[in-house]
Amino acid sequence: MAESSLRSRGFALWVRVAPVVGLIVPICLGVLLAQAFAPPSIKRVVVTTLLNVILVVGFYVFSGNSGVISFGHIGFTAIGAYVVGLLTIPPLMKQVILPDLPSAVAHLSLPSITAMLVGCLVVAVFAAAIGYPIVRLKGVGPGIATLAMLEIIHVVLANWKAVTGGDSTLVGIRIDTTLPVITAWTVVVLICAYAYQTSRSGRRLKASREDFEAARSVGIQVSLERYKALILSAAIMALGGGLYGHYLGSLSPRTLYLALGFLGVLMAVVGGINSLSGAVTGAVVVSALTEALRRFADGFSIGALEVRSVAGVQEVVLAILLLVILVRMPAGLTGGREINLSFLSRIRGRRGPRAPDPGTVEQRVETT
Amino acid sequence: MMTILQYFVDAVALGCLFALAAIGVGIVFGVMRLANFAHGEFIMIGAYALLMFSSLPWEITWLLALCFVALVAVLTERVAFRWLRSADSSTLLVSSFAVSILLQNAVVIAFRSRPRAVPLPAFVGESLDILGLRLPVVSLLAIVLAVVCVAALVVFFKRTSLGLQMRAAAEDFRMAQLLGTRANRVVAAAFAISGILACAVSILITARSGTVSPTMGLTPVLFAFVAVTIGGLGNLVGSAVGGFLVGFITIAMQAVLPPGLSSYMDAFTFLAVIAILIFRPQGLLPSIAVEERV
Repeated sequence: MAESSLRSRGFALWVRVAPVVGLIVPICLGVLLAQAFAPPSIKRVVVTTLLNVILVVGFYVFSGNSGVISFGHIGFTAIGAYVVGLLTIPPLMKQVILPDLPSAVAHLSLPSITAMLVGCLVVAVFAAAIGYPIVRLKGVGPGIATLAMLEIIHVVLANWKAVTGGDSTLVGIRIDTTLPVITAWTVVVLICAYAYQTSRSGRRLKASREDFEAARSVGIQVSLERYKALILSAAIMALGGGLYGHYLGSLSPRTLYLALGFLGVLMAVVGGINSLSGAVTGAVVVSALTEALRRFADGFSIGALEVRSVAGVQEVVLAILLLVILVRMPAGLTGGREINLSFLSRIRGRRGPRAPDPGTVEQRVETT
Repeated sequence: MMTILQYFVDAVALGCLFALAAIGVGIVFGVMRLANFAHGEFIMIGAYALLMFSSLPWEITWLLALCFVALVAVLTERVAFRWLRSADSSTLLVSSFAVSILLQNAVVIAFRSRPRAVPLPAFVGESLDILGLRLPVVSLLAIVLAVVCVAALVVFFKRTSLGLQMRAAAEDFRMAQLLGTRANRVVAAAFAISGILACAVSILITARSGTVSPTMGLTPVLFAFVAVTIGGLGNLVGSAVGGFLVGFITIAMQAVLPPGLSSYMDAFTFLAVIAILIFRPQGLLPSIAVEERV
């Protein structure tokens, strides 16, 4: 009796963590393979893919769980990237490139990990300060409000010469986002995101996504849950930004702006915005597609035939592929479900209860 | 006094431009619940159409460009959005990003990404002087185009059967269908109109700047989205009002901000937008149809 209850408790735990394990294990295996065998160019691709995974998961924590699309999340990334960059550039360097920097920051040079955590904290405080009015809006209101927020952040970053260097590129950031570093951060982010979505607050938020009025009628304070998710999600976006700066070694306001932001939203929707697995799948698939197309579009030669690259072809093909995916699978590649690993325990001959499906598929009212 | 009047004229002209862009976005949103991000690309393609046909007399150039953009808009709906009509609004919006990337880069392939100059009819650069008030032809053009378009739209919505069907579809798409409205015709018509309005905006923007580039659609479509939202979604009058308001806010910021802060102008404009949204979450003129019944 005792053993069976222990078993079922073990099973319950396994069901609880299976989806996130199912994401972390393949990622780690892929990284191990790349670390052991792949040439540097492939390693770089893996690093950028994991950067995208972090950004898309950050976006998912708010928009995926709440069903409220935000277009401004990349703004959190931009702030995070600049904060982390400013904290880690060596003081001597800062005297040269940013002579007007306030002295409190000018003499600081933190280790990368500390700087990342400070960056997350700063952006979380920023999100906490401005977020509440935004999450109370309905319909497309939050979408437009976050877009406006992104514009404001962008204008400030591009013009505040004393601190950000203005429109010119901020250089001299230590390049230390290596494959093991970003893998570790990715695992941390996935665990945080998963812990949040299975927490009480996360489940309330998902309930409000499925049916706003029903959730309110059972006493869920939807705005409050959205507010919590926004803060966590902003912190993850900031981490992504910090890692991004430390991967490129330089920052400019234009790189962390609408184009990257839209790409993030697109990745999430392509993968399936209603589940963490969907966010990760979308980031990996779209990154891989982009990279494959880039290599192909860079021009290649078949025998004596030289095919030269034409600007724009890569993007056109990518856009067509994405449209096909969206038309064929409007709920995304994963259909909004989490990876279900509970069959693994059934292989050992135990018939456990079916795993509950955390991301219920929405029943849509067709409008045609 | 004169300067205030001058600012007022500028604000009305800019407001007309934003209102045209906003109505174009709003009309498609009304029938399809699609916030069409590719509208910016319609504007950009309109500008390139003006460049393509620029060897002809300007009246014919403009007419051809209008038809061309309407055609592109209808084709876009036919090829991409028709398959997504039952998708939810976030999927629709994201597919409009994809369409926007597609159209933008198709233009990059055809014309390269460098900005190009557009030949303009000579009268566009002139300005009239009335009692010390400077009236650039560009501003007059904006006002005339806006008045013509809005008048045509009013006639269309009030006097034609298709207009009536479109209003019905905007109110309740399924009910309209049950009563015999053809969904494909109404949606195609909405896209055609939004294409024509987009091209009117292209005429105004190229008349102001004289250049075209593949990314020129981004700023107007952002402002149009903002205008549609603060005006009240699903309400065309609201969209127009929102467009005017954004124009007025922009000019007011230009007038009021000290020189040191003028590079932050857009930031203040968007701050004002957020403020409006916070105090009027449903927009200034909310439509009843958008609020879902429980």
